[in-house]
Amino acid sequence: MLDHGVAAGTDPDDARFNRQLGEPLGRDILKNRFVSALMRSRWYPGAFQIPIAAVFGLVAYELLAGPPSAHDNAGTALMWVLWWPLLPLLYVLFGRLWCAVCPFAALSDVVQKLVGANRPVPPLLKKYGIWIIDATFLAITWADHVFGIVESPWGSGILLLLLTFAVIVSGAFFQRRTFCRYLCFLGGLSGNYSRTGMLALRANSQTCATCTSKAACYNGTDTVAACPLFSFPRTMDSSANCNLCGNCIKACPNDAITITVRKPTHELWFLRNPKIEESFLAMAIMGIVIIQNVTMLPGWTDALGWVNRTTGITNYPIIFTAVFAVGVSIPVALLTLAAKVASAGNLEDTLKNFARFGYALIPLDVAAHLAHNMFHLLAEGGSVISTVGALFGGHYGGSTALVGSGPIQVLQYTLLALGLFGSFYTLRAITHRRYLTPARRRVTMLPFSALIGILTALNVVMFMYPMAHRM
Amino acid sequence: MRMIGDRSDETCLNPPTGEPLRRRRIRVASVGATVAAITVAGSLMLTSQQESFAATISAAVVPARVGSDNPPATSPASMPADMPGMDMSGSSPTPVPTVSMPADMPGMDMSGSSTVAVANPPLAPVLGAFGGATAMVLLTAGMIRRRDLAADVIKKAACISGRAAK
Repeated sequence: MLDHGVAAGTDPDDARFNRQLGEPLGRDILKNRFVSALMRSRWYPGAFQIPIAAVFGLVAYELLAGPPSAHDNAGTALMWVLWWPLLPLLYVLFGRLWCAVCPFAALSDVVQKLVGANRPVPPLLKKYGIWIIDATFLAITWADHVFGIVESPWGSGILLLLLTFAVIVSGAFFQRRTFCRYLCFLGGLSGNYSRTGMLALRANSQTCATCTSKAACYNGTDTVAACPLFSFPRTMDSSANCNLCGNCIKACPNDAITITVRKPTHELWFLRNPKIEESFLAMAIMGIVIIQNVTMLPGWTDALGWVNRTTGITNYPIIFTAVFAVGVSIPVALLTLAAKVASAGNLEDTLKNFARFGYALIPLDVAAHLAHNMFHLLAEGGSVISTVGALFGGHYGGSTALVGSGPIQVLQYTLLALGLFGSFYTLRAITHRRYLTPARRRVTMLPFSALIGILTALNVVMFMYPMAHRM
Repeated sequence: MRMIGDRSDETCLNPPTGEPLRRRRIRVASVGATVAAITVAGSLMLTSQQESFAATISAAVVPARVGSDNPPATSPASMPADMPGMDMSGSSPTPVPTVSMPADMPGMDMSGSSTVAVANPPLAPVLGAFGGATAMVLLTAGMIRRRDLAADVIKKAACISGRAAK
């Protein structure tokens, strides 16, 4: 018998863990007449998709054919100063709702309707889809710094064209929204972040047990399309792959679908099937935020100069690739280290610890990302007014900053504090649900708490310095 | 609006109710032709627009150096101080390249490109490649779909005739 009360080969906590109920559901907002009518309307989500697609069309046109300077380009401002910074906030508030109204998804649907071959999703994508998403996300961030995608409207336009082409290929050959589920780098990000989201769509399992409609919620009906993200509401225990498109609500003959409001990060507390690739993505995003922050600090140029003097390397892509690799590796390495330390005490292997407790970092991840993005939105938001106004003949001569740097820093630290609290609470909830004995809980909490503390401190230090503007 | 691929409950007794193959073929061809036409027209339009735009800014723009990754910058004097959205108080740091560091090092433009003005790179080849590749993908997918539907019809016809023979 081991000192934590775990006999070799058996884990008494497993039985208890497996008996535990899933995430409790809150108040069903579909009981509200307005929300119910909206979700069941044949115009939802199309009525939102059309204007958003029109705006994206304008963005694409501006990026490719508008002013070549990012400073004057409405496409750059709308894409990188307004849309991109607001995305994580949307995920926290509404889960993956953005994916329901995303113009790329609408394009995929149109292509599919016109010429879709509707081939099943290749097993390779099903198995390694999230790793592909991880790699794509890292590659795009790397390319942004090396080729200056964000600073160049033309570069951003090319990125949009590449994404559009990938969506068209996916829509033309594969079923439903294969791209959104298995390939979209934003889908991976939104999948992770929407676990902290405040809306959850689930099915009433008791009603579903008596259902005779051959999974209409998943397969669709003659009038309602199938679930675009291949999710089966009856067995769904995560919001990562639900975009709240409302298809299952319209298709269900028993009104078994509910949309409940919950506390942010609530889903993470009841985690049952952790996946290592999703934990890795959470850490990679943390690394990306760190890199983005570092390259915007005043000391970044000095650091480049130091590397240049020390190594004699003048090639920026080489220097940045090395920094990027180190930056992304730091959170992954720290989580691996914490998992290793915890595995010595909680008697689960390092990989399981890595997979399970990487999710506890997601709240901090979202907070750090939001804090970074709020800088762009609030310190450069004036550029949206000026560039879009200029399109319609207006003139805005004010500053790009919507608020001063003081309030922005207060907001950033508030977000970080919320993220810190969310991560600690999630860590505690996961640990307490998984392990019965106080000793196992203690040895698990310690290393991961230290990791959360280190990553928070790193972010706090970075947000202390003034950052370079993008526009 | 069941997806084409989801045909699990279709049987011999439920013959396909899809549109005739000829109409589908026409639709696929028209989609391809439309994409190609839009691409060509768009490329021509954008090329002419770029030429006129480049002509208007050529006086203010330093020609790009061959092989340089970074766009050339306008001199500050050529920029109006009240450029829309420009924060002239400038909290953003402006890096000064060291002697050992080339000024045109990609990614070194930490001033946020606010002083950058270059002509757009030629769009016609990019849009041409995009449109061509898209048209190819759409046509290929359309042909696969047509072949699948034809095979489906043959299979169902054989199934129905088999039942009739019994």
